[in-house]
Amino acid sequence: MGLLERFRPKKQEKEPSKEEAKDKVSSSLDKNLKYLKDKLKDCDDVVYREFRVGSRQQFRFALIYVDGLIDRNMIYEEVLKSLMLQTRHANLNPGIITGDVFSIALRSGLTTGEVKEEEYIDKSMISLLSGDSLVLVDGYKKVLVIGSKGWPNRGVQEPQTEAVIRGPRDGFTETMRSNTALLRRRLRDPNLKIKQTKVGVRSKTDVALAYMDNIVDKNVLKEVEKRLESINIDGVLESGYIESFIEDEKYSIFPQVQSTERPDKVAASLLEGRVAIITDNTPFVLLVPATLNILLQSSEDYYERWFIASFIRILRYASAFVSLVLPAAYIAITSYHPGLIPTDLALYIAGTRTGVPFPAFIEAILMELTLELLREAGIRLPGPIGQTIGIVGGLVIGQAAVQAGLVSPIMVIVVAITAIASFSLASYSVGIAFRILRFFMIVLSAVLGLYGLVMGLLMILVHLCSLKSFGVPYLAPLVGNTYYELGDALVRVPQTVMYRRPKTLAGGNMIRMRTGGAKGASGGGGGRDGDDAGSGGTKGGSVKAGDGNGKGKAGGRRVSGGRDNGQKSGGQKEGGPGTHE
Amino acid sequence: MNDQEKITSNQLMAIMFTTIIGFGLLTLPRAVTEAAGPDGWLLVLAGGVVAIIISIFISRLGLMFPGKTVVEYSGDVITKPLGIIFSLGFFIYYVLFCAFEARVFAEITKQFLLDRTPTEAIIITMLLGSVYLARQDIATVGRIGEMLVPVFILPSLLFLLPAIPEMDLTNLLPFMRTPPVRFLTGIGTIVISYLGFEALLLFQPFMARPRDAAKAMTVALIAVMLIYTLAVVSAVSIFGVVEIQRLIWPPFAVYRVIKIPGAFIENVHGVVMAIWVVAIYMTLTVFFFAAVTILSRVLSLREHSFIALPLAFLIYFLALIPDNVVQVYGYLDAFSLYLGVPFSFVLPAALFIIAKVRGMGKERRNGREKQTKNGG
Repeated sequence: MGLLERFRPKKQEKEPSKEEAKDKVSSSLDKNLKYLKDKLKDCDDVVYREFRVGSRQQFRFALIYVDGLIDRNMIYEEVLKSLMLQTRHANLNPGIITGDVFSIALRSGLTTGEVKEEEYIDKSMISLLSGDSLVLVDGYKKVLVIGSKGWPNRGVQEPQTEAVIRGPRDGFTETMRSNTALLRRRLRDPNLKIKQTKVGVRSKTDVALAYMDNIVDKNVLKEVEKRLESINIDGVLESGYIESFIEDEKYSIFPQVQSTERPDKVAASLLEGRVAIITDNTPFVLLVPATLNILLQSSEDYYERWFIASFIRILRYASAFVSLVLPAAYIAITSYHPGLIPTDLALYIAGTRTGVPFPAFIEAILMELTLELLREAGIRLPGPIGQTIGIVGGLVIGQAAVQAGLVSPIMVIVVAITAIASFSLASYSVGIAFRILRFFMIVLSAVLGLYGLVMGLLMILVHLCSLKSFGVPYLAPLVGNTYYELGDALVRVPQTVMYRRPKTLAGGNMIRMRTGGAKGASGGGGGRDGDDAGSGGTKGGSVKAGDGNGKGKAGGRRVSGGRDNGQKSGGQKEGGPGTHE
Repeated sequence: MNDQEKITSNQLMAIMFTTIIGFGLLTLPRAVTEAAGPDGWLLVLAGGVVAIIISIFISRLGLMFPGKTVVEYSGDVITKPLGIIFSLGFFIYYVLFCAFEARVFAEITKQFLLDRTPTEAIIITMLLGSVYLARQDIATVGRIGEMLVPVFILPSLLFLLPAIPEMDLTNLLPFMRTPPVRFLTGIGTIVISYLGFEALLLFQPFMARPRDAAKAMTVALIAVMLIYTLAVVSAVSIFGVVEIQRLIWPPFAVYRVIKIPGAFIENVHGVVMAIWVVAIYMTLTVFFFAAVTILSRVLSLREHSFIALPLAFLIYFLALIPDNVVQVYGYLDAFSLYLGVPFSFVLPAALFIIAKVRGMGKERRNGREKQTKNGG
């Protein structure tokens, strides 16, 4: 399936047209083999198998594949066995088998699913290197490309970086095909489009764009395609390569593209009208456009009950703020404005600081840097040791530094709270952006006190306001005329009242997909339930009577439509797939 | 610059609100009580109404010349050379305003937050911060306005609540005893507090729907009026008419007397100051942005960002000219009388009247009617 699509990208088609004559498959098998062997010289992982087919062994065939990339069983059983043994049986009836051996092999010889003819030898070579097998027949100017990809695979595992308490445990893997399958399993909608191209002159990495055709903002989609096409790099080894090519502002500290390992998150984003960029060889899928608000969310927010989710979201926003300003505010207040805090506390802080030889600024920088080092060391060291070293190291250093009189105990507390706050952010890259900016804030408030702190915050805010991700303001929906989306920003209102897709992300006339029963079914309502949202929506549509609570909960995201249903009794009709567009 | 992103009417509202409110509030209670005694808060309302009327004129004027800022259409209305002189005057007005803002801000910051930091350092950092925003496009200014409105409305109102027990409303009596003539001349003294709305002359063409400008301006100015009235009423009722005239910045004095019971923050005024930095920053930056926009349009530049930094140095030197706060306010009074009133009240109204007399809006309307006829 994907194999056919894979050859569609323009770039790949242009190439052969340049050197057409040279590239075409020759009719002589020996010539072709020689050409391939020449090109793939010293590539010892390529296997050539020549064999003969037919009762009198009159047809010369060759099978070529890259060892390790293919499913051997499949090739042996469905290609070699079929061609060599079964055609011999068929040959008992000689009237049929005469004629074009090539098309017979294609039509009835090979018992595999994906087979394609290919005229250009270089193109077939690329598919050979991506894991397909080639069958060459002497005397025919075409190659049979057999989809036989099958390499050792990590298998679907729980994502390491985005753990949830409640929610699906499957995560993306390094194989793009299984990643798209994970998406397709969640969105069984013909509108889920998965467009593949290849990026990277040498790596020829498969990159797929996934989007919901009738929800996505076409301008965003066009822009993504344009930017992807403009990438001209030798190799794409991780989606980060692509990210750095497609992001809007390269000199910003904030990530403007979201990356995730969670298929449920991607599915939910697609339903909001965003575009996913799936890259082969990495479990990290890119999502655009991304806003700060989205980056601070976790997919679990939609699985927990709304009250809990809202609390956690507020907590997360608060911790983003704390991780940015706490040490800076501590420095500003202790060094410049001790009058702002209660006198007892100010005196106590001053007391703990007696004997500390450094100014608060040095103290803070020292501790923050130590913390960053511990964090980095903790990541590099193997799992269990890393954790232990992180915690123990932190404790020992904190405790020892205080006892040695180098750091005041309150500073240790401040730094520890800051660290906890910054690790509680859902996105690692946003967390690290805030951590870096924290140093900037520390410097500013050490120089200019509270005024510096406020100016620093203002500068960061100006920067955030000036950022855009694929035409969407980075701070949406806090800015722009999208205030109703605030229900899914600082807090998360119940799924049942989120009638509309976010206007900032979804495109054009498809904003209110959730209002009707059918829309509920195709859009899966809040959709974040993953698999069952679709069927749930349909059920809600046809049951329709319970549009208030109870049963309506499933289809109930059409709430405003639900009101209509009561009068039109259109639940059943709208529930049908007929009214999609 | 024409293909840049537009602002929504809410963003215009936010820009105007944050721009106007920053600077005027500082001296307002003192100025109005000097002019009209306990009836000062009525003066605030009267000034607000005048500002609303003028801003409606301005928005009508802007609608006559769609897609053009005052720099372009003043040339159409009062011949090209006069138009350029007008625009340059407007530019000088904004530059001077920025200089005053920066200086006053530095003085306040010095007094309340950083008593040992040199004024120059505060002015420079403030201006550099402004340059950063002035180099962006109008949409960014709009977004930041939107973000900042709640940031400083909510806390300043919340912190006013504990001041209620300190208030004595009898300080506002006697009511309506100011002689009408004194009251009318008093309106002139408070215009400084409403300066900023005339930036609509520049911002209207950047709106996605310029028709909404009048409505947005009215809402913004009413909000400003309410906040000002609240500030005056609270300051006068706490300190009384006599005492208030001895305070340079009465609103800060209000926050100084407040004690929040049982709160972690002992002294509210520090936090209020922090919010104040935000407000002043916004005012200064919008004026700065306006100055940069005017200059780039007079010189017909395609990019406006690179003017910002040199302009900041000019403002920096201008800001350091006065020797002390008293002198700053002396200059400021002259400034608001000879530049503020003309450029924000008289000249826009005059432009509007001249354009009307010359039948410019009509021309366009007729033209459009013709077009629609042809189209039909």
